[in-house]
Amino acid sequence: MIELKGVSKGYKGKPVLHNINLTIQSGEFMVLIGASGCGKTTLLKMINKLNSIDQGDILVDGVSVRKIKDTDLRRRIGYVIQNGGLFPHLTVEENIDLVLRISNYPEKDRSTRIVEMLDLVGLEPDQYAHSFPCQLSGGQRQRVGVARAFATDPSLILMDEPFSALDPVTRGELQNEVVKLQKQFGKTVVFVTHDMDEAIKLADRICIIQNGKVVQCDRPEEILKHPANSYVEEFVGKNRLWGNPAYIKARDIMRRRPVRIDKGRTVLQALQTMKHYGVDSLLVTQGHENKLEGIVWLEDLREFQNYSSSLDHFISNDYTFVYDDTSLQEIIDTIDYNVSGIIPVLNHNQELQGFLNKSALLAVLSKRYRKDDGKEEQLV
Amino acid sequence: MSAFWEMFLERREELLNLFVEHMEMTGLAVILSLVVGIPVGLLVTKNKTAASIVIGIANLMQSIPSIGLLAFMVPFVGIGEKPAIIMVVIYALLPIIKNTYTGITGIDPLVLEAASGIGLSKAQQLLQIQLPMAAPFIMAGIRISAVTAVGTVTIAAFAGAGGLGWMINLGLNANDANLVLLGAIPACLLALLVDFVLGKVEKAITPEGLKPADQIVYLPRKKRMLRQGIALALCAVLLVVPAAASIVDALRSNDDKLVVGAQNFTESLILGYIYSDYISSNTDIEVEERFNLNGTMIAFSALETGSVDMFTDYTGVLAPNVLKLPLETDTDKVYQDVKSGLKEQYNIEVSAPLGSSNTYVFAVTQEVSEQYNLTTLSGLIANASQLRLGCTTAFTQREDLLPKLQQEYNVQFAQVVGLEGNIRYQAIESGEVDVIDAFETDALVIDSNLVRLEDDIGFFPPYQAVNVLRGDVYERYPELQPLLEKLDYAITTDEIAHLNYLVDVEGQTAEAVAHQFLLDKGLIPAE
Repeated sequence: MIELKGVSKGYKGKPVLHNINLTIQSGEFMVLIGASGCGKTTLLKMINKLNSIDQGDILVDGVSVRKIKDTDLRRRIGYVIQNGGLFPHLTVEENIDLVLRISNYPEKDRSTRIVEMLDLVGLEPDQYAHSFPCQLSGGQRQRVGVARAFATDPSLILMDEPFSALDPVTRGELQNEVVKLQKQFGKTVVFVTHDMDEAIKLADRICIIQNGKVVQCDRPEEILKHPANSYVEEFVGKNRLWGNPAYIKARDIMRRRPVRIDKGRTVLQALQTMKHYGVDSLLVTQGHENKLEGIVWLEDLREFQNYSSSLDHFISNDYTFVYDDTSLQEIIDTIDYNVSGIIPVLNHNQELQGFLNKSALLAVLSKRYRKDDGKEEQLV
Repeated sequence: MSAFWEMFLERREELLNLFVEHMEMTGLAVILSLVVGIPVGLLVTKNKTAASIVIGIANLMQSIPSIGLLAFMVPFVGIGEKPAIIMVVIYALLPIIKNTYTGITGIDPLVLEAASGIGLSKAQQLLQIQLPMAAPFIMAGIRISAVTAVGTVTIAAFAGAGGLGWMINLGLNANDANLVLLGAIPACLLALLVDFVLGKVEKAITPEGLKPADQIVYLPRKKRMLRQGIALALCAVLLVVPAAASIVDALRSNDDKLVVGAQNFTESLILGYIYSDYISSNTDIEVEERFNLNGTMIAFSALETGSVDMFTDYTGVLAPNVLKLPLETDTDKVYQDVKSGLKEQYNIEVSAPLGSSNTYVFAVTQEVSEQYNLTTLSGLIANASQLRLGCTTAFTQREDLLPKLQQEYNVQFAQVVGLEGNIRYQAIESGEVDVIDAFETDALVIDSNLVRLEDDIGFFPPYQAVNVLRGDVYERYPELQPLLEKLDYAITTDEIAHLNYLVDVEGQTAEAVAHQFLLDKGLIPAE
């Protein structure tokens, strides 16, 4: 666990970071993001004391970094930078061996460990162990950089824009592998990037920094949906959410006031309600909890002329419902466009929250392709 | 060519000694500049301002003419290897400092960030990252320095340090191209050898990973170490062993010895050998020779600082240059002034005149002599406006020489050309000048069949040869005084002119000529 407590830093009299308070849980993947010059890299490098702390304190597993010798601290923390930060005069094997050596890794286990690490990052040891960095592609170099950071099995790994120089395909592969390794070994990772897509893809939590201050620190979907201020909103990008349908939930796009009727009412009353709202179906609920009982369709009521009979007999169970935390992705995948005219949205207690219909979905999906024009972008 | 070969065979032992001496000085100088240059280069990487100042100073020092630097240092550090090595070090420093600086600062800052980020200490970064990565640059600097040093060390001969420059200097004195080549060619070969070996070392220590990707050959650690080991061993043979040898020599050297000095012209060398041979053949005193000193000022500072104990010079040189006495033409007065002046001001003993004089004289070719009916200085003064004079710069500058002639006798030559050393003889032989200044005893005057113009107006100052020696010498070696007094008036002007001729024209060595002279005169016992 890393705790940043009131951390401030200035450079040549100009404040760079201002009173940063942040707690990063063990096993958490934290992404620091912001425009260039916002202080995110400065903050990262304060954790391993590459940058000094002017005010405040940083605690790693409860111990202030001020009390740990620089080299000892850094040997306990994995560090990955752009291009892998490999030493060009050493082979891949020697690059990894160097960190093992300075960490007093048992000598007899070192070569086994190197092979193990290369395997882990998908580099064939026989082929690459004796290569020099200049003989590797950018992606391979970065893999070695990752292997080097993981080699001593540190619980914390700092990554400073490690993938920003890679082509999109390689970057995507490495992002996946880093997340995989992080989850597999339960590492705490602090990752700096300026790329929001990358942040959303990797992060458990994203910390957005603006002019040396944390403006928002939350889970990716919260940041997408509820940007703390216009800076975050702009930084996140107006259309970003629509590129990530997994983060759009039914509750975000549902119509909130379904036309509904209590189970105990009569056919006449149902017809009147339909007429009043101009709809052809009603969601039937019962009690204060608004438990959904079913749907009554106008067609079914018309065939029967006894207006005073109870609605009970006409309730249809032939419908598809979604839960309020079902993602847009799943909604699109599961609904049957031919059947349902209305899709009730329930919470997990089967209580009616709202509903979706074709026009609501169409409206949502069309927003993605609309030009940025301000307020219209608010979700339903 | 065959003459050159013969000379080589004749002098090969001397040459080998000089070659070894040359290597020793080069090696020591290069190693000293490494020891100073690399740390300085590393230190200045910490501070840009310091770097530009230090590199600026190193640049500046390199632009000082080497011979001037040498002359400047002699009063402070004496003569011999010391000023020579300091001079070479000063020239060798710049490439080493500059390349160390460039090599270290040229490393990608990201690499260094990664190095400290993974927890390497400053020392580990320096030894495991920075130095290996900068090694090719540093080695290239060392290579430039070492090759330059081989050349600069030849200048060391001017401060009595020996080395191949000695041979070159002898050749220049005698106007003998073969002798010059005998010194210059081995120096060239040594430079090429040094360049070749250090080139190999540079290649061996260049990390494979820093080469272009298509030239990389992976070598297992053991093989790599072996290759670097061989390279370093070669390097050691070339630089470290000679350097160590010269240090051992210096440590072993006995303080209790008599140092005979000589300046860098033939007559001085012959007189130097005469004294050295004479003393060592007649006493048990250990005699060391410090010859080839570049002029009176260097020789005299060496005498003052105790680097040499004695050397021969001329009253007409000592009076104005050392004692700053006004210009005189009275032979006895000048001698007395010099003798008392040096004793009082420097506690230096001046011997009685050796018997020879080596004053200035104008010389013309036979043809010019006949054409203008020239045999005397007054005749020259009368015809000066039609004649072109080729003379040394000293001759044009010194107030008692050309300026005095121009002012007091209203002499205007048709042209005055500044020419150094033996080039004057080439110029007069090829007819580019008509008159040259010469010394009375110059062998080349005889060889070129020139006519000396008699000084019938008492114009030139007296230049009696005398031996000057430190006041403490007779205290250290009381037996020396009666011995040296036997050399008073022992060598006439004609005799020394003949000896000069034997060396400069006939190509005998000064040492052999001096030895034979002493034998002929019965001054040393026959073998």
